[in-house]
Amino acid sequence: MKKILYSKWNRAEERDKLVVDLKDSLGEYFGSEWRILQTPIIIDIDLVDILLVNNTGRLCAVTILPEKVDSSLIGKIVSEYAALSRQLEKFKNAYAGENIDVKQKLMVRLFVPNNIVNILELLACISIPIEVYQYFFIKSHDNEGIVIERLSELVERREGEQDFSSLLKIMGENVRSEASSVSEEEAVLKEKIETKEEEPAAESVHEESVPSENETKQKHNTDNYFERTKLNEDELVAFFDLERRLAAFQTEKMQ
Amino acid sequence: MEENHNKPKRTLRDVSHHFFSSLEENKQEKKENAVALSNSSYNVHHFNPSLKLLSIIPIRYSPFSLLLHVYFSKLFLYTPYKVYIISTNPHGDSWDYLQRNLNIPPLVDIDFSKGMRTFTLFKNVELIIASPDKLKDFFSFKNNHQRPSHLFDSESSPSLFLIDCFNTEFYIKEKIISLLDSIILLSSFNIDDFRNAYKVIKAYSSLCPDVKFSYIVDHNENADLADLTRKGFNQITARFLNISVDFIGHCEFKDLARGNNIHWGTEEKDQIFNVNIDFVEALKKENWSEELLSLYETVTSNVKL
Repeated sequence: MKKILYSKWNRAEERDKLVVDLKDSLGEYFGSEWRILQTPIIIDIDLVDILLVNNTGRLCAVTILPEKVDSSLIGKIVSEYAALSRQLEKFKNAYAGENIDVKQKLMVRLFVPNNIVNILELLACISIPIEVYQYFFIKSHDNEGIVIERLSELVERREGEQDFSSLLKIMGENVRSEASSVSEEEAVLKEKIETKEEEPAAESVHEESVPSENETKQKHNTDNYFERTKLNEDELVAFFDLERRLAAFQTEKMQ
Repeated sequence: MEENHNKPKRTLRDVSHHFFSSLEENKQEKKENAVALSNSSYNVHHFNPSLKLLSIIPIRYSPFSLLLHVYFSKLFLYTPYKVYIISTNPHGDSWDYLQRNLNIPPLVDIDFSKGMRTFTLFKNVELIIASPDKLKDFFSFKNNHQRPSHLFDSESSPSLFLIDCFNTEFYIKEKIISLLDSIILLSSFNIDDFRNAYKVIKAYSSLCPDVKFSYIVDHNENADLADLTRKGFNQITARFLNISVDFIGHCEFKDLARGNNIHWGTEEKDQIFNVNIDFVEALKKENWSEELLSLYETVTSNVKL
């Protein structure tokens, strides 16, 4: 996938179409004009493929992930984005005239061709600097149900982090608008999103009241369950290894 | 493959109808043989009363969670076991299939606020619908070794409780899980489900270190791949949790494990699980006396259960 996108990027006629696609999809969610910046020239960033800026000065970094992603690559991406967010001033100077507003958080967009579940698991495992990943898009043509399931898990694990709730909302709307019918999983997701959205308001109303026994139980319930089911890095790696072995086995059989 | 494609797709309703029809057909035939086993003259001296709590946990969301337990209970028909299926939150889809085939009222007519309601599904199988809080109270007996006498035909009956707590809140579920003897996980055959199954095992094994985990997965035609997966999964559970998981069989209906509506599988069977006989037999005969085992063998020798 990455190879195809790069090859399209390197062909002028395809690049124009790709740029239009990118701009359209960004505009769809943020309603502002985006333009592509020239190849980053300031920082050694191998993994940022495309940089865009919109009319408010918000910067968006795009990374096209290869099909096979392991924890070391994800770690590298995260650290590069973290470095990028710390060096926005340099960007502002380098791209003078582009009106980059360094006070706005860096927006990151990942193109994830496959293995979405793996990537999300990894992202859940390593601590993502949330201030960097304000928005996070997954482009996928299939497996939407799995993505939603995983994203909802992420949201629950990161309870209270509004950025991920926003992400889930956007993702949910995206998928629902594309799907011909709303599946049961999506309905559950919608309910979860609505619950999440209602939570801050409910908390503010009852700010000074003591939480009810039910609320305490439910909080304990969620905390306890996600704490107990969280996989550590070694366990994740073991499952990736198993997945690789199974894939290799199947490939060998097919040959 | 072509044969399979040409077969008309069957819904769960068809499968369910077939299942219950076959039960009716076989019931009369087995009735006379089974009567000796269920005879009240067999008392506490014939075996040590045992109490088993078991739960089938689908890894993905499944509206057929209750129905899975009903299917599993069929494995214990015509045994001295008294089987209780306890469901905390029966899904309407499961209930519809049961209602069509058995003498139970519509779900909407049941008042859950009044605690437990009991329905007889088969001769030795009862379904109890209980609110999660009631269920928690109900199982308090296991810790103080006082059996709820009103639920037992006689003190000599071995009992099997199948707990359908899939839709229950975790804070209730964790209380129930801690009492279970055995958990059967059910999933489709893919790495994502295996990973989620591992998470369930990880969470529940910390609540109940002595619980035995078993696993039923979709049938996979590639035996080598299935074997590799089983071994790989067990290596992971052994390495990180020090737990061995028995793969006890497979589910005949792939879509059921995925929680989808069922389409007919490759082979018409009235039993939804193709479960390892050793597992079932061991569970059935646990703590039975030699005398009762002998009788059981005699009675069932001519009947394929």
